[in-house]
Amino acid sequence: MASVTKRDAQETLGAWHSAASTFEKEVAKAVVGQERVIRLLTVAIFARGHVLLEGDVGVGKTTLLRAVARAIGGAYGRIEGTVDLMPSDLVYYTYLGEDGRPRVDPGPVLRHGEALSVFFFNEINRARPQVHSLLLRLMAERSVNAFNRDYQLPFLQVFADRNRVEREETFELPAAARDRFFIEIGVETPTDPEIRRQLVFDPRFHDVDALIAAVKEGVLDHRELPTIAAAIQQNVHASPALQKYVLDLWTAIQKPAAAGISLPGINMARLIRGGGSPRGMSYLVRGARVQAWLEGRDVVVPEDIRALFVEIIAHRIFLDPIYEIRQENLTRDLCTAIFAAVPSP
Amino acid sequence: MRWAAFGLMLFAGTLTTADAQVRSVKLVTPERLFGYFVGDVLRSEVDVAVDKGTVLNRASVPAPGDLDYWLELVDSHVEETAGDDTKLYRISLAYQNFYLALDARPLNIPGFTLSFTSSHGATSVQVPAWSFLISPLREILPAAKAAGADYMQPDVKPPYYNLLRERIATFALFAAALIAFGILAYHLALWPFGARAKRPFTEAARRIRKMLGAREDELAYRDALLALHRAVDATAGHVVFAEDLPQFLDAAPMFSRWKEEFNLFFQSSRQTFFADNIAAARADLSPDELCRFSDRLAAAERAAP
Repeated sequence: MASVTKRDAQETLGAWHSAASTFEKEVAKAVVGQERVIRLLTVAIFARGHVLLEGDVGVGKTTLLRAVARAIGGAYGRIEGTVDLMPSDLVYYTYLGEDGRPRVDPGPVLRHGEALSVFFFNEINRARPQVHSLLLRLMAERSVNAFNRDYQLPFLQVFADRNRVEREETFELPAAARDRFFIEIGVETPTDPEIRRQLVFDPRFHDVDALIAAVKEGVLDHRELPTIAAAIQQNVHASPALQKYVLDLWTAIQKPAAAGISLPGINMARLIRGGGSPRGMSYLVRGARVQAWLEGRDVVVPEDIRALFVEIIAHRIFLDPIYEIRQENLTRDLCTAIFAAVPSP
Repeated sequence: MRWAAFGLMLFAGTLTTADAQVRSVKLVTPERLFGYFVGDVLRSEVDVAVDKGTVLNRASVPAPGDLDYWLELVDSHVEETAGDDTKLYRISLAYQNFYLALDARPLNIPGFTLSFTSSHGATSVQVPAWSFLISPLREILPAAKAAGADYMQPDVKPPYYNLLRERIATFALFAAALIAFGILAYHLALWPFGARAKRPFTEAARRIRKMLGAREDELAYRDALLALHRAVDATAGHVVFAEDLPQFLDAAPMFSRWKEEFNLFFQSSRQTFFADNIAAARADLSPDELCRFSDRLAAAERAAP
């Protein structure tokens, strides 16, 4: 009986695997030159993790998310982060009715009820910490209390976008908030000259709505996603050797000096103040299973871990204050050094 | 040593034939001709200039040996120098005196005759005798002493030579030689600079052969794969995953002809470590093949410049 279910699961997974490829292809229609970002988003979707997008202005983050939302299907809600945004603005919509009386309707989070599958929080670092804290609850529990009752949002996936150009009138996301995001994806301007030329001169990219409309709607069934995500986690195998490897990586992040890792000009004994929360490491393995499945394998290999490591773990490494200003480059170098030094298998 | 020209110029008139085949004869004796003791050596030279074509009869040169009961010719040799139309014979003679004199008196070194031959016939030249004054070494009537040994004079102390400079020079040169050898050893990578270029594959091949030779089980196969993994990592300088193989082969082109085998190796490694399917891994790459593969890599590593 058990073997039959297993075979069923594998057949379902096979069908979903082709759906995932279609999803990647459809999203790539709207956003060119961002194959890696699309792959990371796909991993996040199948790992049911929330995504923090980072990047310069005008690289197509919003377009990308709209394309993703359209391809996933389900309802889509969005809100712009501003300095005067209050938590209640997420759940309530207040206005004056035609009869002149004030009305309170469900806000962007609740408007679609359970069907909400993609919630896009634009410029999250412009919102105040009290908004962040509501968002954290939303992300962690997929439920929110409003109108004196609990709303369940089982298919919700939050995509937040952080503009890293400006610092004024912004509220840096606290470590706890960043830890709750499954993955932090940096969206860079494509470097390939041909793609850059297309982006600037091809009229196709001038009309975003037409671009999004070209993406096939509902390639994935958002209601099935939690089930299929669980099936992936159950059916993709992480061997003892791989488990040991991941644990070694974790130790190496926390005590890089003991693992024989050194970066030029850095006191390795002082560098790390805290690194790789257990949640972060479990997210990493979750992501790696999805990555393995997307690559058509039923076993996780170190390459899967490496493919996601920087995006999932780097923002969970906290450096000594004297190194904090160089955080981004240092953690990236540290991750590279860790992969060069920790033996596998 | 300065020598006084004591000798005389002899011209044709003194020669037995009228032909001027011998141009000149010069006898050079020591400058000081007095104050010699028993055992002293006196040196003289005879320079004879002759025409070209005139040859000294070597037998006429006195041979070393006793000349008298008190006089021994200890050395005699002839040097020949050719000029444009003349030839110079220089005859060096060393006499040792064994005369034990009680008073100062002259002693005679005998003269001798040198004979020459030329196309015109034979010629001879008389080298004159010369004399020097010998001096006594001890008193004739010493005061009476108690013991016979008291008459003996003490030995001359050996001279003291200060060797400090030589000693310093010796040490300095020795040190310089050591340093030079050190530099040479470093250049040629000899001991103690013999840390040869690391040979991870050679080492791994040796260990793999040992492991697989000793045991046939799956654990040995696993360990052998691990050993080869570590060798690949050590060669690359960082951990190499299966998907890094192309970059690895680019960086280490001496192994690029084993690309297929490398692929098989990484495939087996995946099967073994991540899919927990050693049987499939051994079907892809048998222990024997693994052993041969590591041997080949070791050979390629040694052959690389």
